Amino acid sequence: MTLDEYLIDNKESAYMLRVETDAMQDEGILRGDLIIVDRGATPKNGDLIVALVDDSYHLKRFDKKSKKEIQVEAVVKSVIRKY
Amino acid sequence: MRKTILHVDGDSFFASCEVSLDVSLRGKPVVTGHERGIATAMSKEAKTLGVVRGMPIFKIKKDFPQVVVVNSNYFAYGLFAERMYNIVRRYTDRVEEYSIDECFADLTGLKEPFWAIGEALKADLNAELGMTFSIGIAPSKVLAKVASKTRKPDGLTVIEPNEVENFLKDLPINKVWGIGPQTSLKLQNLGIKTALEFINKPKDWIETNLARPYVDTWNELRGLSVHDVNTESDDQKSIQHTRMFGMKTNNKEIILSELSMHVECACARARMMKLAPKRIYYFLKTAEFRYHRGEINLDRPSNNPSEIMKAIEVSFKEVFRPNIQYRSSGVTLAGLASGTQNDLFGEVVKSEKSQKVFKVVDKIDKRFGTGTIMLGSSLNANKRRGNTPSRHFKILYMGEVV
Repeated sequence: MTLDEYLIDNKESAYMLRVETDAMQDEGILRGDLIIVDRGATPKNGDLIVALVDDSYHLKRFDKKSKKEIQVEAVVKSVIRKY
Repeated sequence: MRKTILHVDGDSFFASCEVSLDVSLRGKPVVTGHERGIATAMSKEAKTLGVVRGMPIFKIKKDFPQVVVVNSNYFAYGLFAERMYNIVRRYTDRVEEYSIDECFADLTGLKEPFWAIGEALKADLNAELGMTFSIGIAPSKVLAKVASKTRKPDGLTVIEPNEVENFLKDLPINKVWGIGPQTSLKLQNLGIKTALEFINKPKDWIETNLARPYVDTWNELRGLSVHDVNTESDDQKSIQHTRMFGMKTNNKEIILSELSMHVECACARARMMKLAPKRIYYFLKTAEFRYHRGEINLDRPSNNPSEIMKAIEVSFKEVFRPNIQYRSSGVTLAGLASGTQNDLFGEVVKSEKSQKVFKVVDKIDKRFGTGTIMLGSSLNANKRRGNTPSRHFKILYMGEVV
């Protein structure tokens, strides 16, 4: 198995983003990490997602019951950290 | 069997790629081509403002200061194109990668309703690539192009065989794929303004007034598929010859000469393999990496470069655009049929003669090096290698210039 196969489910819809926030450190995602996200996936309750808020991307936990409408851009699939 | 062809066309593709990769550009008027000094693509917001392709960047900045102008990133556009082709391949493996922002797929024989395939594909492309595409589904390639242009952006249009006339009645003849400015002018002088008027002419009228490729276009517009979807597996059975121009050019003679050289080299290889093509594809690649293509269906297989060049010269008038800079060109011989040297050209005496000529050409090339003897039409292209052909070329394949 290659790292690509391990980290990526769907090659066509996979994108890489650099994390620029400390907000997710309790979730184990640190500033400077790379995350691989799937733009085509449908989020399930509790998934880490990339949401569009005020014209920029934000990392969040997907909450089905939340009354606040949020625009889901992608579902986080993997985290890559280099030391 | 009636065919069903799908055409996918990326909306404002280059600009859409930029927006897909940078969320801060979303909803803004975006123009690509900063490094070239002219607009190469515009987002729909920029189009609404009145920015058109080819507009100088300094003028855009002056007249529309709100426009975001970015450098082109052809590497990224190529990656998006690959993903587009692969997503279409989920529905059928018969996909032709027509250009960086377009592809064809052959849906013939698929069980699901075609509009359902179109909607599912469109949803996949939109979600996974973060941009919109316009899709057309019709009984031929030319009609599929008509369909995808009908609703743009983000449209899906299916032309059923019995609806063809509805789609063609208001379509100006010059908007038909493959009918360029010269031919549309000629047709207008003959009283034909719309595609419907064109297909309502009898076949012998078309044959009398226009060259062979337009009979194909006439058939395609009537819903009879002539142009096959050229998949990669076909490519393996084809012979291709391409190269970059020494510098960007829009000189018609130089470009035709390059094509002539490609045809000669590819034909030499075909003759060596005792094969002759039924279809010829050629392309001119613009400085913006767009492809302008021509496709020729020969009456019978031929590996005679003069015959092929005659056909290319006719269709070239529609493919070549004088005010565009081109960077490379290439020729593909496809639909290769084998046959003995004798019966390949058996039908026409003239061809038999030239067959003998090219047999001699092959012998001379083998002895003294490729390009020792060539068609006059290839002269310009061969000058680039020095005026007299060197005898020290290493021959990799017959017909391959080192």
